[in-house]
Amino acid sequence: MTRRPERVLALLASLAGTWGCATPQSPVHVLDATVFDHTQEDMQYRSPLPKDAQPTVLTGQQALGVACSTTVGFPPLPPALFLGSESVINAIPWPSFTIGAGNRGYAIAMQRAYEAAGTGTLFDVRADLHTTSVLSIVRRDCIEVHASVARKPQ
Amino acid sequence: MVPKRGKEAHPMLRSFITGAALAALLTGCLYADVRAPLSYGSATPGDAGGNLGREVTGSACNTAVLWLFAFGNGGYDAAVRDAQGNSGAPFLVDVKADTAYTNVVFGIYQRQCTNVTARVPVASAAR
Repeated sequence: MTRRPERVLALLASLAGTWGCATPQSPVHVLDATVFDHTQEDMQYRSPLPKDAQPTVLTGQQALGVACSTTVGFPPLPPALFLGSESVINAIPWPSFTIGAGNRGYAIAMQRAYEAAGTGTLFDVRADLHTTSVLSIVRRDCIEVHASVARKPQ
Repeated sequence: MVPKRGKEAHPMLRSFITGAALAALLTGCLYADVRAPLSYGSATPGDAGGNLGREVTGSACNTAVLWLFAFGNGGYDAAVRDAQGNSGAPFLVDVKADTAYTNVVFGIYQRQCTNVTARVPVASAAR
């Protein structure tokens, strides 16, 4: 009888430990204090491989395409720069009121890379995310695609 | 003397509150300019006709110091260019990408590197 309260406490602690499972995980990035957001972001792109560029000549030329979105937020919301940064940012106890706009999708970035290359096929595409943040208030995220250019033989 | 002591405490308290408010508002990062890897559909051995040459490695890093500044180019492009080096290869094959992370004393110094290991296609296959 004297151990019963301890057992109840242990049971409650176990339930508390598993409570997180009741919260569904959302794949959609939700900002809890968004004032306005109209952005397009990268999702998936299976770029051409060298064999897809045949029958062409590899020129050794590189093409670059850049597409950006901008976010302004206050109180400041630091950017997630490293692995695990997201968990630290999510732990900030106050919301950041944000306004975001821009298109940093693969489609617009690749379109600009093709425009830079002129006539030719792009392959071996390396995509990076270039983040610039000032005081954690203004943040500019740019997708940068670097690609090799192949052209049809003359 | 007692009222004077009280007057001296006020600026100190004010400084503390101002410091705490600034720390809360700035949340650490004053300026960041970094490039992170996003995606890379690298060439496969089939693109080189199965003719794979020597192995090369490349690295590209981002660094953050004192929770205030972050800088670097740790993207795929920089890492692949570093691996290509002077090989003259138009592309790399069988690319493996890993990330290396260093964190010293709660993040006073952080460094994250993208490391690629790949094979160079032999000249005949690379055209």
